[in-house]
Amino acid sequence: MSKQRDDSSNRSTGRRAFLTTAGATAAALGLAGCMGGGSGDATETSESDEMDTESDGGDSDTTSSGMELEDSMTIFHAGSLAPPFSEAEPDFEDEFGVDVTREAQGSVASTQKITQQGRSADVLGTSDFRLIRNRVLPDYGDWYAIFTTNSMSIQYREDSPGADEISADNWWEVLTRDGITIGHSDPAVDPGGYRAVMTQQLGAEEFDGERLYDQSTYEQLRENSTVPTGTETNLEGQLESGELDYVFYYQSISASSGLPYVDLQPEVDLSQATSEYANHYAKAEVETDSGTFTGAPIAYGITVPGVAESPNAGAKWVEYFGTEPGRAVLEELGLVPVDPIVVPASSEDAVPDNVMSVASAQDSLGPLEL
Amino acid sequence: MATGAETRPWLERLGRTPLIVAFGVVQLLAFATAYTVDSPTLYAYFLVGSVAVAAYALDGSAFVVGAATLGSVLVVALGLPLALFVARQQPGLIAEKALDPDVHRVLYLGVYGPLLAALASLAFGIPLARLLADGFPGQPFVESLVDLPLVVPHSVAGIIILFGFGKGGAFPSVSVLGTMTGMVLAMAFVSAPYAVNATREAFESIDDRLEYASRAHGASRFDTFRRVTAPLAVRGMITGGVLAWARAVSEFGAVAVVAYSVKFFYLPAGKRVTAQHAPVFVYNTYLQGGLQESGAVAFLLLAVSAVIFLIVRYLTDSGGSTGGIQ
Repeated sequence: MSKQRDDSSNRSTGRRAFLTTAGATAAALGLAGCMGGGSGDATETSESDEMDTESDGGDSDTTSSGMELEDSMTIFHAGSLAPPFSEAEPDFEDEFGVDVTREAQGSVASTQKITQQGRSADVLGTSDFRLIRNRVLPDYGDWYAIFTTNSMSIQYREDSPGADEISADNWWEVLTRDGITIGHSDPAVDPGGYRAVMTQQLGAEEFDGERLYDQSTYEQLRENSTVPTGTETNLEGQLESGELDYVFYYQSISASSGLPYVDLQPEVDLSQATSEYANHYAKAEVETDSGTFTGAPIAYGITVPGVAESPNAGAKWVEYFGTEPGRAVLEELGLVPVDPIVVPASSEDAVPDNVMSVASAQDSLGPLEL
Repeated sequence: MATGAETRPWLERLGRTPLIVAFGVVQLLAFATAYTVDSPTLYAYFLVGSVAVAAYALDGSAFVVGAATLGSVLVVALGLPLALFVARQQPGLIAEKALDPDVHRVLYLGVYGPLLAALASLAFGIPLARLLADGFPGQPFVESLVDLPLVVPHSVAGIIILFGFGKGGAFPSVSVLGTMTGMVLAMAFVSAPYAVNATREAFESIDDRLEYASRAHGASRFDTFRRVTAPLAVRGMITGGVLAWARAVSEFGAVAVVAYSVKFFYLPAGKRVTAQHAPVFVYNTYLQGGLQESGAVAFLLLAVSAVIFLIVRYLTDSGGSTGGIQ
């Protein structure tokens, strides 16, 4: 008998303890939201009511071009676009009365959500426009725009070995020392990964008759490099925990993190969308299980997929990043806006009118065929 | 009222096994039909309906029919997606993946890593479970700590492991990033609660008087544990171990952060190789090759896991049932 009473009281304390735990962990979950980087999909619906009047005013603007905005829209985008997109979201919602929901993931995963999982989004933004050109067109969309570029950078901790000496002029010397661990994401599944390898390769290639370092330095860099993650979102945590000493990722991430970083030479940072640089970048070639990638300027692509449920609002978002307020946000967060945004001439007819009004149609971007 | 509980005479004559087989065959046929006419919804209704009819035929009481019908809704929610997943697989692609040596390594690591994690969880979890079953000062605090990993988001669990055991944390000389140690630590972090809780429940269900009797006859506490308590709780320990193992097999978030690719000693090749934990590999296959290819690998993992589950269940059913005092 006494055993039974014992049991039941035991069980009830167990249950109480569990509830306490659950409560305490709500805080941890909140923390998770912060650490998840781009995955905070906060939408601000509360303001949509009072904005109705304003958005009507805005509509009269747009109805001249025969466009009425839907009430809500969904955006799939690369993790590295999370800072500018979340920054622009409240202003965009206020101005146009559209409730924006965002899902940040790797560029490849974001693209596959549309092409493989049959999901619908009104905007798709990727860190390499070729993903849209090769995988989304022509079945899931008709056009795309190149709206921003980014550059590669090296981030480190204050106490990383060699941190007090490193600069743009000697980073390869510090990074090739014994016992240094360099991290970058997986080249096979993440553009940020193969671009990190390209940056390392380009330092050993001549540009204007000079190169930063020789082939053996490049090999030592590769020797010190490890691939500790699929996508770049985990790298910062791994760097801070002390497991990695230096990480290669986009300058837009480095600039918004609190840690120090090295702003790399334009001949290795893949940021310049001109013929001269693009020809140089093309010397880099990375072989992975999922194919061979050739070096090119980091050109971000954006589109309104054919499966969009709110295509007008989607086009409005693209237009927003082709105009001054959007460009300001991109610049503020370490990206380099393309001005004006570029659409391929071959699909000019498919581009929505409002996007075309801020874009220039081209056959190529430098040596990059569109 | 009591009539419902009695076995019906015709059921007695028929025996249970043929009935179960017949029911299974009918379900399989119905599912195949619904799948070929491309409306799995129909099968969902059929399953719930057929369970209700079967419950009525076998038992007849309103309570059992109601309970079986409601229960079958959950079975539909759990089983139908799995059945559709299996039905959608392309046999050719599965065969191709099954022969791929890369996939072999992944499956090996995907079974072996979690096994180490489950064994570690049990080795240190059983003593803890024994103490928790007895009770001690500060027990609620320890209990909460043990349960905490159940609610920590998994990628955060990975970061916690990195900060705790990385170069900036405790044991800086032990490398965790991309090593077997890190993978097992990450897995143990998320799966240990299952091992501890299941074992503890087993200890709690043992009658205290058996232990008193053993002690009164002069056995030491160690002997009592070895000869009385532990054998009686062995099924709970195995259940806990299997749960912990299964949890570790399916772990993605924590492992992807701590040990994205793992260097380990691969017995069939007799050397150290690098591979990824199965869920990480499945996700990467999805990113590189799409849904069909990743589905084929996931199917293989599912099949291997199911076989291991069945083996463990079979072994514990025959061996564990004696589980009493020798």
